[in-house]
Amino acid sequence: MRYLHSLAFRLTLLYAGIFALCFAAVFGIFYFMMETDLNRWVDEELREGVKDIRRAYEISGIEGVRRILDREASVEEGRFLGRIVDGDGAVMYETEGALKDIPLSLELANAASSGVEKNESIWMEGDRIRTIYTPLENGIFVQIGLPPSEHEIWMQDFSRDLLKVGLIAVIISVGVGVLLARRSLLPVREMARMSSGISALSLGKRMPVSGQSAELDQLAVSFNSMMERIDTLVKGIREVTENLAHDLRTPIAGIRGLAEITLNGNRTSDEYKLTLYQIMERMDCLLSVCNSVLDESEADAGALALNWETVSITELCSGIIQTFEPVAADAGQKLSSSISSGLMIKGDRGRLFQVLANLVDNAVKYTPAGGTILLYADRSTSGNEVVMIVADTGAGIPEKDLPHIFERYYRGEKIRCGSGTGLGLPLVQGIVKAHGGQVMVRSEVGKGSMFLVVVPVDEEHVSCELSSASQTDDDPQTHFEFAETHS
Amino acid sequence: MDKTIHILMVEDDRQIADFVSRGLREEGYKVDIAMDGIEGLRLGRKAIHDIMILDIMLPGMDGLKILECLRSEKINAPVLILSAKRSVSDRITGLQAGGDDYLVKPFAFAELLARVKSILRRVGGGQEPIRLEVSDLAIDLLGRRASRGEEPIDLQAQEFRLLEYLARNSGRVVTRTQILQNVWGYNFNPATNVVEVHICRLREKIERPGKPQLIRTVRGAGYILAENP
Repeated sequence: MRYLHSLAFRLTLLYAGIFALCFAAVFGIFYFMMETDLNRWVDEELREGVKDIRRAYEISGIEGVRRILDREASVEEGRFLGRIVDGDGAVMYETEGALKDIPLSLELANAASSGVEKNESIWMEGDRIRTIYTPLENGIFVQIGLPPSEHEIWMQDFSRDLLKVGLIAVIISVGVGVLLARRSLLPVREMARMSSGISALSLGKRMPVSGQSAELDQLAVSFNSMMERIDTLVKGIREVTENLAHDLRTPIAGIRGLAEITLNGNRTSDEYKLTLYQIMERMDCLLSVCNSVLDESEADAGALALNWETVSITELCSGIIQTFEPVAADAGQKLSSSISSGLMIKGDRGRLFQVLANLVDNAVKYTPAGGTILLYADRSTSGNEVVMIVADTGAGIPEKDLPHIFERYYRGEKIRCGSGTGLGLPLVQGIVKAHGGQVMVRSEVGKGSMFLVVVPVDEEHVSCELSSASQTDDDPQTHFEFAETHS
Repeated sequence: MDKTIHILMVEDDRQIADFVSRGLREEGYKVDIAMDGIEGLRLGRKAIHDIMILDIMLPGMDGLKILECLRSEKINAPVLILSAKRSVSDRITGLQAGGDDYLVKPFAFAELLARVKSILRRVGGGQEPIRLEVSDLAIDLLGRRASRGEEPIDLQAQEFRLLEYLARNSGRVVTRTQILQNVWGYNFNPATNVVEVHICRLREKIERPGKPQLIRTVRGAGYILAENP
């Protein structure tokens, strides 16, 4: 019964069904109208006869009626019924001929006996006989009947033919329906065939866009764009996995080598201890890389769990300054800051520290000796967000890299402890997004970079007016700060 | 220690169970190990343990369930929960189920030991130390002050935290990564030499010429704060 669920079958059925229904309706209406017309014509003829009968009855009574009936019967060559019935329902006289077998309707006879004229159509041997019951006197009535006229016979033949043609048309419509359904569903079947042929190995395949059907083309286009996204994701996953495995090999091999060399030859117990300490540190570092990968992956999936509390951005920033001021000084840089007091937001303190620490850490790394790093924090003009800026006078980011710096592993850096993991910026973005905020970057090669972090003060203000702090060049605040950094 | 502390460890990962029990035994504790949930519950019901270390994901019966059963039977030995789940809500679930502390795998043994000691101090009515001493370096944990001999040392908040961490682990090497995680929090893997620079600053403040060096570098590994070389 699988074909019952096939769209083509159901379309065909629907098509033929609707066609048959329409035809039946048209035929029915046509037949009804025709019958009404014909009845009217025959009834008029019958009434003429009735007039003659009445006149004859008035002149010469029942005998006159009988004569009229006989005359009519002979004129119509036996294709006529004339019947005189008395008040008790007994036939007093009837004409000879084929129509003698027409029965007397009791209901109509009763009506006619009580003086009401009645008409009736009777089917006899495929012909429609129209009869009229007309009362005379004392319950006596006359029934006369006429066979179908030539018009009527022709009309009946015609409608019979019409019915046959209609049936043939319905059968043809089923065939046409099958063809149409198959033809219009052909591209759908083709799509199904193609999409089932797509596997992880052939993600490059695309649906052809035929240009013949807007709906199916739309389907093909959206299917293709979905494939595009899947392709990118799968490639990304593959790349990340390969990079990770590849990058982890180096430090792991290093650890192994360290153990091997220590075991080569006799060492003092202090030397063994040192090796174990070194292995411990390298392992700790690998663990923290794994944690970063997990963090970043959670952030990427939007599943980063935050420990919400009230966080003083002012205190957080001074912690960052305390952490990095000596580092910058050691690298011959100046770390200056401009931090408003009393900046409070709802967020995860540790994660926000991670954001600023990563940005400042990067700034210190990429700024040469003699350069300046600025940490700035203030409310936005609307007061609904806190804006944090980390700017440096470092190497800057080439324009072609700028759109990609928040992508995982974009820098293609090897995972090495003590030099960042290439996971910093994507994680920064993930954390800020989890806070309902936004990270923006502006950079010029040779002049420096500026990272702008906008975080809503609390959840109610999430997504409020974030666009107002977007990276438009005419934003006076950011422009000013950027300019100051380079002065 | 007047009486040997008896620890029950319920952990299905043999490697972890091995290194933790070895470490704890070396610290002088008596350790029972259960490799699955049912065995864990059976041992726990004996009510002979001073502290339990419970993994959450266990064959047979999960750690939270064991904890629930034991608590309903009025076995109130403190529990340290171990779990591979890192999220805040998992921690909260664990603590709400009656756990006294929560440690995320993988962990450093020193971290586990510190938690165990801290829990034991708490339930034993003992107090957290308020003063740490290494040679003539004294650290006042309540007043957040440090001094070398009679001479006070002026430390920034972060420098104090760094010194405190080294002092709490005195005599033991702490790795650079451990310092980063414990002093600066979270998982922060910097590209710059944050730890080195801060250790250097701290040395300038606490070391005195002519006196033995307290903070020593363990090349390629980390640092140790100790009295004797």
